[in-house]
Amino acid sequence: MIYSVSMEEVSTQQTIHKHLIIESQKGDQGAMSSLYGLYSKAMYNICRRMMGDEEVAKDLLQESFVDAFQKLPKLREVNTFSSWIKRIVVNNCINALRKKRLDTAQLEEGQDFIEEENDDYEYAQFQASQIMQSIDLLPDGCKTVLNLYLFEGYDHKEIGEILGVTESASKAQYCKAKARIRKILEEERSQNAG
Amino acid sequence: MRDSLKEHIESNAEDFEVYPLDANDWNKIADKLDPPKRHYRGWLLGVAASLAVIFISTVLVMSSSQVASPNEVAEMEGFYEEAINAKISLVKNQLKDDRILEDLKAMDEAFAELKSDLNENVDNEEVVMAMMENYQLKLQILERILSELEKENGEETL
Repeated sequence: MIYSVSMEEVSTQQTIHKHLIIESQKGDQGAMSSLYGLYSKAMYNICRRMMGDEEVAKDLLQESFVDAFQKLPKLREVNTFSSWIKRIVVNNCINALRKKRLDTAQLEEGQDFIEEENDDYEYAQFQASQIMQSIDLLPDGCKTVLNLYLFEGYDHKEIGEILGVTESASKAQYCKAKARIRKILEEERSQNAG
Repeated sequence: MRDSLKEHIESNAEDFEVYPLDANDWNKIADKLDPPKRHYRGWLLGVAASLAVIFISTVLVMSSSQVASPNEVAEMEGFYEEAINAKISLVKNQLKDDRILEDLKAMDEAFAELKSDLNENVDNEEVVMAMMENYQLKLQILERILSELEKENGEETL
């Protein structure tokens, strides 16, 4: 009965999270600290992926949690906490990128990029850290599109709305980003082989 | 269209959380959050309940005793109104939000209702005298709020 045990665990976890969220809504700093402990690593990884810099990511993480805890009393559906806080983090990252002059206009360029039919590349031959390093080397524009699509679960229409570009521009930038990643990974592999 | 990168990342999502967060910066976040609010509201409700009890008791006791003349009462009433308004201005100057004043207003409304209820049962003069007690206690409350606010503002400037 492994399945039922794991379901129980999930349910217990959800109950604990819900309890912590409700207590945090009342201003209990102990509960807030526990929520931070549970969610900070995942949220930090979003910041770090999107910003490409450790210190900037840490500042944004702090800012996002302060925002979240200040807005938390107004969150009606506590079950949506996880996606709600993720949205706060992503929005803060996008705002920070805009301040950093993320040039969304350049995302509209190069839309003649040929959309690939299939991507059968064997990414599993690389460590996750190698793939992440290659993503880190992408220019901000296509990296933002790729991060939102791959990790945050937005589709190209939503990404277009978030960044103020067309859906096809988002798709083109994603394909461009993937092509660059494959190139970086291949170069690294050939260097290691040589 | 097959997207092996998306498939690979989605099926190994946890492995891709590669960036460790070593430092626990909770204290920095806690510092930026509003300090826990002093529970004036609950405290005021308690005081309001006590006031109500004292008010009713005073009315009951005074119904069997001698009281001051209506003119004297009106004079005292004017004095207290003035003193209370002066204290309210002082509290307003130090407040960051209007909640305490809202609470005081709510307390006034509750007492107005009480007064109206009691008017139906006891002599007007007795009610007015009981209200004097209310004024005195209200002054004491305002003084206590002021001293709390001064203490709090003092702590913030440290």
